[in-house]
Amino acid sequence: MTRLSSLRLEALRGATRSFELKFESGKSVVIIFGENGSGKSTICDGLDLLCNGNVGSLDRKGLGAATSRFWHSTNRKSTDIEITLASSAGTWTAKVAKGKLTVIPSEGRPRVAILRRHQILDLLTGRPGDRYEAVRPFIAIDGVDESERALRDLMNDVERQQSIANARIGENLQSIENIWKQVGCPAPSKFEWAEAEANRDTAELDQAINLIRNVTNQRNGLTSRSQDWEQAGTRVENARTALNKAEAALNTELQNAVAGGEELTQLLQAARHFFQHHGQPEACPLCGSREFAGGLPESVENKLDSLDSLQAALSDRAKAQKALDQAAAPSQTAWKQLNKAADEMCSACGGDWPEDLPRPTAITQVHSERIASGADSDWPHELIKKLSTEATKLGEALDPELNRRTQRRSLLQTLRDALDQYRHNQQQKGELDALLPRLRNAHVALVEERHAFVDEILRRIATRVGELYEEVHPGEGLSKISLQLDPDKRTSLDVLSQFPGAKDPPPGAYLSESHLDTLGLCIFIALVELDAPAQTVLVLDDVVASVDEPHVDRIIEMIYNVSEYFAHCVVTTHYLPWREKFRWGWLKNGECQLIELGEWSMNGGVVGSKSTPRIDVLRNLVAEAKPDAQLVTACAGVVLEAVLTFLTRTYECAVPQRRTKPTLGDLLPAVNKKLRAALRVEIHDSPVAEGAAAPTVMIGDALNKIEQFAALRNIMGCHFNDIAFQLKDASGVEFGKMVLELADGLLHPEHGWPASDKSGEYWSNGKKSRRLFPLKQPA
Amino acid sequence: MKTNPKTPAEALADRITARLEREKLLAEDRVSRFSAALASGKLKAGDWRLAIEAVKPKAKPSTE
Repeated sequence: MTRLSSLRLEALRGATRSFELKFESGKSVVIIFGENGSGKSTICDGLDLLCNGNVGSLDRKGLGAATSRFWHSTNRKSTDIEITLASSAGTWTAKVAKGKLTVIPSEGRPRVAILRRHQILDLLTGRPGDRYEAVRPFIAIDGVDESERALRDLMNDVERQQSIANARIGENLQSIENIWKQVGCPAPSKFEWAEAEANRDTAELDQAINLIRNVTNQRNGLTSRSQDWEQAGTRVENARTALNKAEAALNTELQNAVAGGEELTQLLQAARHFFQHHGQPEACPLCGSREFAGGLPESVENKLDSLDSLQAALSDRAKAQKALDQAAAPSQTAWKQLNKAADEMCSACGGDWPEDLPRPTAITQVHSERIASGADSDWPHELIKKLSTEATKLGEALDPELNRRTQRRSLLQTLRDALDQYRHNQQQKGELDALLPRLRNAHVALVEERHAFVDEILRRIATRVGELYEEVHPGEGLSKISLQLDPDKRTSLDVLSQFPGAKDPPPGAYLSESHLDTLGLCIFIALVELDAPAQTVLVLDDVVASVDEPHVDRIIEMIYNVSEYFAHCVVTTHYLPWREKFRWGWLKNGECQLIELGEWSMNGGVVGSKSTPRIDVLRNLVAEAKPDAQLVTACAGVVLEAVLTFLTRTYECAVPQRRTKPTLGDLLPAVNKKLRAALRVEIHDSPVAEGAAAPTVMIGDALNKIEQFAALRNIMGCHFNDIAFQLKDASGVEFGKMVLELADGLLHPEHGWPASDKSGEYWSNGKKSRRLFPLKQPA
Repeated sequence: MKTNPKTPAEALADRITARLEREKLLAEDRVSRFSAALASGKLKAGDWRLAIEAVKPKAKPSTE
């Protein structure tokens, strides 16, 4: 278990100067006592900032979210802040730079849970949502919630798929019914009929459809090839006609032409050249004749024109011949293809032929004629025409048969598809029908377990709160509180209590402020106990201010009791009796460290001191080399009063009632002779050997001796009295030693007074290191 | 009071998977991985379906 060793604060809040707190080893509870403004919260702030990264004392003070600007002491800078925490597990140092906290090392810091005064009421009177936030870490099941959402999504999805499957099954059945009606409701049960139809063998039907389609294709091929051949023939005829025409034109030109046309042409072209350069001649430049000389250039031009026409006719004839040659080749190809198409048409009609189809008798006959005409030669033209005509007739007869059969085939396929989809959807629906209830069962199990789990945690917390509360307010009947989540709002937590005549009222309705403080403290402790308390430092910052004295004692006892679960408990208080109880050993001083804070000042900062029990003060006084008798007797008198008060209360001795507090003169006689004779304390500081007697202090004897010196308390210790002039200081010191011996016998410095009668035989302290006899005053 | 080393979500996930296994809604060999995924929120709809479907309910005995 981690124990704190020391905490050093520099420039943090009230720590205007360096302040170090040493934690004593072996003491699980540290009480820091100080008046208001002495620096108690600064110490808590140091733990809070280093371990939680926050200064909780600044929350809810209207300072906004960024409180880091108020972390440092007013006379220092934020960069001066330094917090060092040492524990049995390591040392951590926190510094602030640019408003950000850095802790080195960042890992392994002690967990610190701090309860401050303002938080108590938050737990009880705050909004249920805020209260839930305090409890949330202990019932944080966000991951499970996320997985639960996925399960709900799946259920919704499966329900949707189920609806779709149902709708599709309806559609499939409707399709089947439509087909059944379409074919005239041939059987009483449409579904049985559909299954029988879907299972029907369609091979013959498919064969017939394929045969008709093949014959149709061949017929179309024959028609197409025939058209191709005819078109090619037309193109040849046209080319031949053009050739004939070109040859006729050429013959005409040849008749007009003369021999030696070429030389003549050259001569005429030279004459043309001459006339173009010399103009109209007056006489023939060749023979010199003037006759006909006037029309000579025109005659040359006419002669040259007649020679050009011959050239054009020759060219046209050659082109026409070429066109005829080009048209003839495709015509031959088309003829061959037509022959092949005719053969294939006959072949398509030559195989097995279904009985219920129009038979191709005419085609078969044409084919026989073709074979008779010579199988190696081409088809005769007339036979091909006949074949084409008969093929067209057969196609017209087969077309309705094909339509009827393809319709039936399509209907059967639609029926099969509908049945297939119906079966598929039925199977899917069956799977979903089986899955959905199982998903719902899983969801129910999850929700029930979640409710039970959360309720169990809340019940555990409530039970623990009740136990703690009962320790502080025993028998008041107010411990039966319950924590309940609002079923409609899972992040809303109600705190309910039990009061006579009121049904589940909130605690704030009837509890006093003191009771509310206690309840808030108990809820906080119960919550912190849930989460790794052995690694957690519990810090209670001045949270018991409103509690009255007897309840404070029980709170202290309760804190002692719970401290064993925690790494360390730090309690700050300005409650004076707490300090006095420590000084008089009424606390479990062995398990408790009291640190007293002095008055805070700007220059001095937080000032700490170790509070010393009164008995140790007396011990120190008598141990001085030259004891001061006045101080010794004064202190011894106070210690003796404490011892006698304890004894007279324990044995219920008769002490005179006065307006003033009982004096030694009242208390000493109250312990009467019979009781003195019986009073003894066994000291069990170390184990006692079997059969041996434990060291024993006879209280009565000690009181008898002290009684003889008791007057010294008033004479030397408390008043100015000239009788004291005649008394030796040694007597006063002797009185002090006797009281110290009595007190040491009765009171263990760490285990306290023997105030418990649980043994049934004697009074004892916590560790039974002091055993006071008798248990009851002798009669 | 004793402390539980598991997070609340892990502890709850363990309870839920144990219940699902008890009710034959989850196969024994899937419990460990399923519980971790359930606690961390990584269990998606498809994972739920696979896990639930992996355990087929026993067919009812035929009455014929």
